[in-house]
Amino acid sequence: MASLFTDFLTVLGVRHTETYSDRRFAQMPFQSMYGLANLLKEYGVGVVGVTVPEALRKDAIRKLPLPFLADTADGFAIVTKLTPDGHVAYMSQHASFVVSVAEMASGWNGVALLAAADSASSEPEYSRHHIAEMARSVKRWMLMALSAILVCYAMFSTGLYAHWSAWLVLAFDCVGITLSWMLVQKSLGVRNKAADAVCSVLEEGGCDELARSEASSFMGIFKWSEVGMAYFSVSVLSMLLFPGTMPALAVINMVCLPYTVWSIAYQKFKAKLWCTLCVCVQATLWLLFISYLSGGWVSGISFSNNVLWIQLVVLACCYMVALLGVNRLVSAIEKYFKPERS
Amino acid sequence: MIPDVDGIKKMSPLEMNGIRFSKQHTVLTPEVIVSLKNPRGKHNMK
Repeated sequence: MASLFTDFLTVLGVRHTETYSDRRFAQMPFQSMYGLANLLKEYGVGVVGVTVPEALRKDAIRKLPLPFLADTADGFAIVTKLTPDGHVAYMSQHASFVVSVAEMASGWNGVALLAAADSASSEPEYSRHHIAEMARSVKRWMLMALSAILVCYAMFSTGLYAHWSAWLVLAFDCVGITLSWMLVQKSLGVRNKAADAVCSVLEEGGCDELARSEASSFMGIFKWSEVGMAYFSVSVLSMLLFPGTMPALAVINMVCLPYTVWSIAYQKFKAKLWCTLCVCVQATLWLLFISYLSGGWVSGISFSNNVLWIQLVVLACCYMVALLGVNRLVSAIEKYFKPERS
Repeated sequence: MIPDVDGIKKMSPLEMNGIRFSKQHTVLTPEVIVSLKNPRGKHNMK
């Protein structure tokens, strides 16, 4: 997770860990430029807030020490450098842009936070936090490796390994989990470099805008990203633990397909904004359908079979439990991290 | 630390505390930056 604060520290060249620094930023007692200035002082960074009248802003942009935070009506931009051809390079929400001095001056309201760091500037107790962050990374890789081992064991012990379509379904479900997790992070304002890279394919900022819009949730009760997390997670577990539920999973997948039409239509005609991650999730649902279809799992469906109905009911309960759990977890995370500007 | 720029003024702590962080924050693409000359309605909460 990264924020305006950690982006600014990175540009200033101040040693820091994202985990600790983002937490300090989120928990500032004064959620303002004053609070940020105090926090920067704790890191040994000299700061001063200044204002510049409108008529003199173009000149100020060329003369203010870089980097500095420029305030706009829509948030802060980190002005990082002046390019050789006289343009201004800046960062916003972890992305870099270049505009002309005139354009920057027009959007800037004249308020700036100037900062000066030196070699002694550093996050308090940086070494201890850095070691903890490295340990977190090791834990993440171990989780992925052990999960892969368990998944392979399940595929072989249940006999699913012999069905090529099962491997496809597994792969697409895993892709779905990853995409849904990225969307959950977007809705929480959590930075993910991979998600940002994917999101920029169709439309820069589209994922962020839609992730925070009303359409990102079902009647304000559940976020669609949480629904995706629950759906793909339960589908994978059900497939690996109870391979006999594959036909039921195929039915549920088909029930989800109309949602993909609504999602694409909403983005194209209502929001007029493309969320690449959302489009990828819709594509994943269709790829799953093709996998179920080509693997013969759809032809195995018989609605006169009571077992199928029982499986559908039980799976529906599992999806609901997972969704409620994910929703509760996400709500707790939102509550713990105070509203922040990143 | 304040550079020699015409018209530049140092802000007081009270003024700096008036520049609040708002929850809704869009990506400030060049198009957005230019449009902020006529703000769309999102403000820093005071």
